[in-house]
Order: sequence, then structure tokens, then C-alpha cells
Amino acid sequence: MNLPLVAAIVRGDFRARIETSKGVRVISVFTALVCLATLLGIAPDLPNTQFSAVLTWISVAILVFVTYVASAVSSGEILIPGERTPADLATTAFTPRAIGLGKAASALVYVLLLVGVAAPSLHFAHALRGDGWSSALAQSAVIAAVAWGFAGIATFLGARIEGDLLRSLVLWALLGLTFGVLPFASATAFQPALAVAPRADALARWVCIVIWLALGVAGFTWTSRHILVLRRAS
Amino acid sequence: MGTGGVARRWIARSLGVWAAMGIAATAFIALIVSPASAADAPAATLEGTVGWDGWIRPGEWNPVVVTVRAGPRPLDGDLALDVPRGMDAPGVRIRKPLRLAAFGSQTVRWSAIIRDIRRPPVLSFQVRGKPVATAELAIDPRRATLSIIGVLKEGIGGLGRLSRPMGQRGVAAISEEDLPEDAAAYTSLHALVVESLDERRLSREQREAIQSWIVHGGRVLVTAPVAPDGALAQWLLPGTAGPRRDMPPGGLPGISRAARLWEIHPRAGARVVQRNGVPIVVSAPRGFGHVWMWAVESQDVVAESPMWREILDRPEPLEILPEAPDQGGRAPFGFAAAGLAIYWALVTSAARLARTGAGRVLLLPLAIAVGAAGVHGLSSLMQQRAATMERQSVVVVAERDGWTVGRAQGMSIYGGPAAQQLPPRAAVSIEGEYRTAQVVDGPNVVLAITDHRPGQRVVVRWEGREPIEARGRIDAAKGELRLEGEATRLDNALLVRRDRTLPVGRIRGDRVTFDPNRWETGHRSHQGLDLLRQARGRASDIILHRPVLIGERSARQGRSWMLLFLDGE
Repeated sequence: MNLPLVAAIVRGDFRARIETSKGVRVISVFTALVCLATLLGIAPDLPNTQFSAVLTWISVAILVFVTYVASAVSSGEILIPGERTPADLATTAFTPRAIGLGKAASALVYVLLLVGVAAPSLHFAHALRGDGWSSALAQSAVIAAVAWGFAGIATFLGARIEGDLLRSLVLWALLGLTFGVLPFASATAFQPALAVAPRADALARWVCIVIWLALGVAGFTWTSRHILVLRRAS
Repeated sequence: MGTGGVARRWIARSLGVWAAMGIAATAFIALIVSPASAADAPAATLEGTVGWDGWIRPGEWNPVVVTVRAGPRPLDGDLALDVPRGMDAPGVRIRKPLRLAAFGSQTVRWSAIIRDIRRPPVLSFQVRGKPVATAELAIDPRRATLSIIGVLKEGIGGLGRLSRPMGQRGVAAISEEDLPEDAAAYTSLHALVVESLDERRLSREQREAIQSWIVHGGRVLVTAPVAPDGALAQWLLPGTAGPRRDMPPGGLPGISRAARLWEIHPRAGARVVQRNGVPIVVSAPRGFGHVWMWAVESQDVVAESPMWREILDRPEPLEILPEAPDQGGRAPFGFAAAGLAIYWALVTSAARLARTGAGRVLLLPLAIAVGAAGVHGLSSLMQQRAATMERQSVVVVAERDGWTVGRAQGMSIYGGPAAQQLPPRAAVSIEGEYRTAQVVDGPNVVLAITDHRPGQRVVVRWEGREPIEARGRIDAAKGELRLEGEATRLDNALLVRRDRTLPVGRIRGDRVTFDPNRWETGHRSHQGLDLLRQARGRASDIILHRPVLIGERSARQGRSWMLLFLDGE
């Protein structure tokens, strides 16, 4: 593994996502959305209902925001000037393995940044209800794992699907399936929308984290392999 | 070398080997058996009782006595009593931090309201949150009753006939050691019959608790054989007993012919009741309470006698606690919006600044950290704004003895934890909808810690003796009030004398004058008296006996009133 190559990809992506005006706008809009969700979440829970009803909705909203922004940026749906997509990097001297690892690391850094920005808001909603930091941190771990896993799949989609519209459609379809259809179709506790709930079972959270980390690893590995395929084809 | 020499050398060598093996075996046994014995010994043993000789009054303060004995190792943890409330409602945990030396023991006395007689309270000793010993406090549902008469003697003797079936009344035999140190625990007694009293077996706390209970409404019957050989008996007895005398030839109504009869002589202020010219009852008030002294032993008086009826026919107060209106807090939307907008501006500004230089990227995590601290503070402020807490207490002072009754009612639209600091040794009950509730019995303070459910009311009530220095004397004819101690600083004060009231207003000083012609007829409502009525249904009776001064005291938390029983007329 060539660490300097990996570090170069991470540095390049991070600069583009932080040091460009579009990157700052993305963070600003993301923070505004998270704060808005939190603000709506200060509504009190109704008596005689599950304690965490409102908190669950805020948690799922923040999970969706983090996951969407991380995967949209990784897939190129939100195109940030200066950021090199896997397809761009395929034409450089970077090894496919370094590209895969570099994209995985840069996605991780970005996801951690987004989760870091969202965590205080999440804690705010918890603290209102008398919970400590540990509740928000446990949820943040689930959010980070799911968002990174999705970013891995999105990175692969970015490399595999050339058409912007089709790529976006597939990404939205996957998001809709994960956060819109699955929670209503199945009650498995380890699916993200249920594992992120404030009172979710610890085992379900761990299963969810492991599954999405594995999906992320698969996504970034497929990306490396696809770059190899692209190079062979060219 | 001869055979003898070889044998001696063999024996000498064998002895060494056998000795070494013996030492090794002993060490092995010491290593294996001793630790096993220590490990097998329980870390602590718990024993406890609830109620009076097994009798309990559901919904009232019942005495709880617990003895903790440490095992071979010192104990450092919490003694906990989990009192169930109902099938679906979480109970209340009463907790006291304890530290015991190896094989040491300690007795802890509490008062607890038992609401569910089907499920016994559970004792445990917790070390770092894990129970090392548990025990159940047995409750016999057949011994749950509406009224308890305590008899201080060896066994209840013939007094068993005073009990009533169907849980109407129980008679409990108690000894000096059973008497609670907590005054509130005595309130579950309808009356206490003292047939024998050895004050040397009483602690100072027990004496003070009994005295306080009597002053604040307790009823005690003492029979002539009780010798006034202690400070408590001297204070208690309304008369003195002389030598035994003969039963009149025709006997005495309601008293067994075989009864032993003593001469009794009233003390100053005592009332005497005679039958056939023989003084048989001497009685006197003690604060709001009353003490009777009989010239015969209690078992010789028939249960239907007017002598018993006078003591026992006190109607139990029907406690109707009007629910205070919920003044639930509201979500401070604008406050939260401002705080979150500041957080957004902070993160956006940091992100913008981060663009301008590599080192400035660190501004972003710094902004997140500052924002995290800020929203944490904001959440605390919002929790306060979204919660309501109404705390009121009234201390009734009679014969220089204070008795506090208090109530703190809280609700938060978000739920979450809340704590109330209460006077030391206060008996505490917690009602309402909560997730968890515990009472921590500390050396200088009692803490009621509750975890509220969102939008649900939790009520913490406390009661108990409160040492207070306050005294007052009224001269209604002269229009003068002489006050001492805490009574010299009261607000919104009101004088109540039988059925008349007179507003006094603010009191600052030991002398208050008023116009004796300004008394108003009819009882004026006063928050302090209203609160007391909520806690004690018969509180209005207090003001029928003697003049009372009601006023508001300065309090660190909530509002507090004083109801001072005045001397003079």
C-alpha cells in the first residue's frame, strides 16, 4: 500500500470539499438543514406515546442528511470543483488500490466532519430530555457507519455509471429503498432507520454498523476493480 | 555402619520429609480452605421489618427498621429499599450510603408509604451499583388495616379485643426498641397505649420523635402503674399515681370488678373524670395532641366503655388532596431558534475562514467544539424554561417543636431528571408518572431524585420534625404580640383566634401591636393553612384550640409558611 498516494487523494478531496466556495456552501446548507430538523424536534413528546417518538424522527432526519450529502458528494451528484472523481483518477498514475483506499479515507474524513457538525444538534435534542452525551455518540456511530457505507456504494456508482441522471436516479432509488421502503416493509432492528433510534438495542446497532462498514468496503473495493477494468479497456 | 545407624538415619530423613509434607499440606489447606470459607461467607446480611408488629396502614407512613451486618470484609456501598407502587408503576427506591467495618452492623430506620400490599418491599445492599445482598420485607396482607393501636408492653394481653375484623383496626405489641426515631412514622398509629416504659432503653432520637408526634396530634394513654422516672414520662403524664386503693363495693361502670385500682392526682391544667366519686381518668392536651392517664390497667376496661371511645373514636381524617392545576411549561421555540442559528453561523463562518489557509482548517473542529458546549448550555436553560416546579411547605410550631409538611410538584414537557433538596430525616413519598424515583437519605440532607416522563406531573411530599426556634405570646385585650426566634421575620401574616382573623401583614421584630377592635369574623383563607389542610384533613381543628399566627417565611426554594401556636389569650 502506497500511503503517500492515498494521502494525496485524501488531501485533494478534502481541500476541494472544504476550501472551495461550493464546498463551504454544502456544509452551510447541511448545517442549516440539521439545525432546522433539530428546531422542529424541540416539540414536546406527546404524553402516553413512546418517549422517544420526536427524537426518533430527528435522528432519522439527521441520518438521511448525513448519508445523502456524503454519498452525493462521493458519487459526483454534488460536483465540487477541484475534486477528482474515480474516473478522473483512472487516467493518472495512481494505482487502483490507492484510488480505492484514498476515496475510502476521504469519504471517512468527510463523513466524520458531517457527523461532527450534526452531533451537537443531536445532543441538544437529547439533552432537552435529560439524556447525556453517550446517547448522541452511540447514534453518531450508527450514522457515520451508514453514511460511509453509502459513500462507498455511491463512489462505485460514480465510477460505474457515466450518465449523471441515471447515477442520480440509482442513488435516490437506493436512498429511498433504505430509508423510505425498508422501515415500513420490514421490522428488522438492524436496519439504519431503526438502529439509529434513541432506544435501539445495542446489538442491533452493532449489526447495523458491521453491515454498512462491509457494504462500504465492498463499494470501495468494487471501485478499485472497476478502475482496473477501465484501464484494461483503454 | 551398623543396621541401627542406617535405621536412625532413615528415620531422621523420613521425619524431615514427613514434616515438610505436613507443612505443605497445612499450607495447602490454609490456602484452599480459608479463602473458600471467606468467599462463601455472605458479603452482608439484611434483616428488616415494616409496620408495627407486622400491622401496616397502606397509604400512611409506616416504620421500617433494617439491620445490616457486614461479612468478613468491610462494606462500603448503599443500603436500598425498593418500595413497589403498583403493578404497572415503577416504585420508589430509598437509599442510604453506609460504610461498615468487617463483621460490623448498623440499624437504619425509615418511614415508608406502602401502597401495594401484594408486593413486599425489597431490601438490598449495593456495592458500586451491584447488589451483594437482598432480602424481602414480609408483609402479611391480613395485617393491613385502617387503624393501629400500639401497646407498649410485653404482648398485647387482653387488649386484643380492641381489634376489629375486616382490616378495621389492629392492635400491635411493641417494645421500646421498636419505637421509630422518625416522628412521621408514628402518624400511622391511631393511639399509643403505654403500659410500661423503660426510658433507659430509648435513644434521644426516639424520645424527641415521640414527643414531637404527640405535640403535633398524637394520642397517648398511660396507665397508673407507669412510673414517672424519666424526662419523657415527666413531660407526658397529666397526673401522678398514688398507692393502690380498693375497688368501690358496687364496682365501676365499664371496668372489670377484678381490676387493680390506683389513686391518681391531676397536675395543673389537667381534666379529671370521676366514676362514683372515684377519679379514674386524668387527661391534658399536649400541643395538638392529648394524653390520658387511667387509674386502672387498660386491659381491665371493657372495649365499649366511654373511656376507650374518648380515645379511639377520633374520626380518621378523610384526606382529600385537591390536584393543583398543571401549569405545564412551553417549548421556548424562539430561544432555541436563536441558539441554533448562532450555531449555524458559527460553523458556516469557521468553514469560510477555513478556506483561506491550511492551518485554519482547525477552526472547523474548534467551532464544532464551541458549538457543542453552547448547545449543551442552551439545552439546560431550555429544560428549565420548559419545566415548572412549584414547591411549598408549612411548618407547624407548637411547644417549640416544629413539624414540616411540604409538597413539590413538577412537570417538564421534555421529561428528564429533577432533584429536590429536603430537610434531614424527612419522610418522603413520590407520586405521579415517572421513570425512576429515589430518595437519598444523606447525613445532612435528604434528596428526592426523579426522572420525569415528558408532560407528566410528579409530586414529592415530605413530612417530619424540623428543629426550629420560634415562640409567640398574644395579649388580645392589649392588642400586642410578643415573638421570638424565626417568628420575628414573617410576611403576609394573619392572626387567627377561634373563629376570628386579623391581618398583621409584615413582621420585622419581636413586638407587634394591633387594634383589638379590628378582628374580623369568619375564617380567611390563607395559602399556608390551605396547604396544611391538603396534607392534614383536620388541620382546621388546630386553630380552634388556641390562637395561631400564620405567616410566610423566607425560603431558599419555593414558598414556606409558619403556623405558630401562640401562648396567652
